[in-house]
Amino acid sequence: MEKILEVTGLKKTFTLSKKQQAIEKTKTKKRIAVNGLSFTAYRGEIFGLLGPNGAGKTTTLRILSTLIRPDEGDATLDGYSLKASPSEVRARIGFLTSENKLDEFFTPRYHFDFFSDLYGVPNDVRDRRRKDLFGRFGIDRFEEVKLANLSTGMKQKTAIAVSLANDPDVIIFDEPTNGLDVLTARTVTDFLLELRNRGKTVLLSTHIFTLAERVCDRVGIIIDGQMVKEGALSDVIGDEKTLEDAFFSLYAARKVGEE
Amino acid sequence: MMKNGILTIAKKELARFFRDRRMVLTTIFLPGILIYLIYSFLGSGMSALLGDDETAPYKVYVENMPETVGMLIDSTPMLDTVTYPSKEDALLSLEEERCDLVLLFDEDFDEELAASLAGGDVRVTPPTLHYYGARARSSEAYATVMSLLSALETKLNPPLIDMSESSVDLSTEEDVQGMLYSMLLPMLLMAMLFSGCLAVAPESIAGEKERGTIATMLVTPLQRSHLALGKILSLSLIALLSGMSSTVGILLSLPKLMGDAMSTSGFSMLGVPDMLSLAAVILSSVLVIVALVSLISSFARSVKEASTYVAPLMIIVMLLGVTTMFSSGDLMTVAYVIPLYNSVNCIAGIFGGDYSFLSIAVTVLSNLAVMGLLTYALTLMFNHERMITDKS
Repeated sequence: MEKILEVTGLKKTFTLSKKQQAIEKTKTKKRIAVNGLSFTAYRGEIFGLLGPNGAGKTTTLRILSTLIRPDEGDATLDGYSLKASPSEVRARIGFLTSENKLDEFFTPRYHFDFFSDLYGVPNDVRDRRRKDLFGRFGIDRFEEVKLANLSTGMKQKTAIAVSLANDPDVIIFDEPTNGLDVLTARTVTDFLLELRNRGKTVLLSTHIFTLAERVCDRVGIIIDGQMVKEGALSDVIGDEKTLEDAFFSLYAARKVGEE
Repeated sequence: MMKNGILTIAKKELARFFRDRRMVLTTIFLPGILIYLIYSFLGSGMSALLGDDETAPYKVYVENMPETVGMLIDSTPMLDTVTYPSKEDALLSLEEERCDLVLLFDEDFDEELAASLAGGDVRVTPPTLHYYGARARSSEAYATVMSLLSALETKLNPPLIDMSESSVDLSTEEDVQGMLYSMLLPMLLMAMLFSGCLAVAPESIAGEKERGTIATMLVTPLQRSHLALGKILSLSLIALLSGMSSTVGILLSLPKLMGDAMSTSGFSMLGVPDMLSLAAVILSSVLVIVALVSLISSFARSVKEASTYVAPLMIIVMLLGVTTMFSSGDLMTVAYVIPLYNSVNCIAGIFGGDYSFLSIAVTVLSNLAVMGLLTYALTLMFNHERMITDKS
């Protein structure tokens, strides 16, 4: 299997403001969000990044999408270093997260064309790609309707389509089914599998273990900013019945170890 | 081939603005229309307060006109004596605003005054004045006559000399108007341009940060410098249109507001070189202001916070605009390096007809250099993770 994403020793520390210290009821000024994180993703697989809230998943994805820089460590994507060649990395990824939004004033079509232009996609390729993706998600009927007037599901489908405007090799999805009804969530998960079948690598962050079990080839479990287990789905589940059971075993073992 | 990121961002910013009819109306059309209407309303209100013909002499009815007072009133162009059959008719005219003041003297006023001046122990019977204090013209007529009577008391001998007849004002009407425009317009223009920038820049930078839409762009290979430049150039165009609308509103309404002192529009006094110089100064100033407001907005977590950060800057700009009212206009060339201060002085110079092309060139180059530095700083901010992590 060909390595496409290799993460090595990522570390990220945030300085807490007084307000954050008060919210988190701590006097500590620094918080380690990611602590020496390493893992590998291969071409044509869905890699699940699992963990509880605050484990460091979102920070890891932000680092991998070049939005923030790691304090230590690096990652290579298709051979390009995050730190040394961020533009090359950006050109090769698609990133979808609930925190990165699309301006609700514009239509799905405007967004797709605008982001295609930012990626430098030729107009004829852009038009063909838009037709395919909008047709796949049923956006074509609403492509001239402002996002503000679309349903949550249709907005999410638009965001997914826009994140694929550059036909990226690696697609990073942060909780892609959050807030979606069961039908739309199914459309999204089916599409993840479709992407894998087309040879794309999907890095999926989620806390929904059933979703991970359904679509992921390999998973990594993050707790307190550290990778506690990484491997094929069956290896991580091991003797446990489900992935969720495996997670709780790992979580309990770690907490006992800390005590 | 990579498409031009600056153009793509600029097109998006312009589309965001011009497709929003409400934004276009409130940012471009309303300021000019409102300023024109308010200033015109104020001007007509002031005219009404001063009367239809504020330069017409006050109409004064004098009963038993003493010779001494008659001489004084005759030598005062602002006073015009009117006659009525009786005192009662005069008071009725005063009530009906056909007369401004009714002045009643005792029949023996002249004799009593002469005796008093000669040192005799004679008490002069004071005149009775009827007027309406709430009416501007009546009140002014009263004040004028009272000052004459005071003069009569103290300055009857030697006789009064009308200084206005022996003084000659060599200024032309255009000189006076130029001076007024050069005092008023720098402050008004800068304030309007700044308001235009305020209407769009915080929304475009802090607003995108607040909504999370800027992060979506930062994930793409778009160069941060292109993002900064694309935003600054497009926002400058919008701010310029907004500023122009306000300026047109001001220039059209100033003659109505200021009356004869500004009977012509400010721009009609300018030649082509003046216009080109003014355009270059305004354009470079807008670029500086937009870049500055954008940079400050990038530190804010929301549009509201950005507006708070930028407010002190508005005061500074207004203060700079006011400085031209008190300065002689003789600045050293090096002073034109200071951004915004250079702009207000150039605008004052252009309208006052007293500027050099060197000062314009230094101003424009300095403003462009400052804009470049601010754009670089904004680029660094777009590269900073604060743009992603710092949210309200």
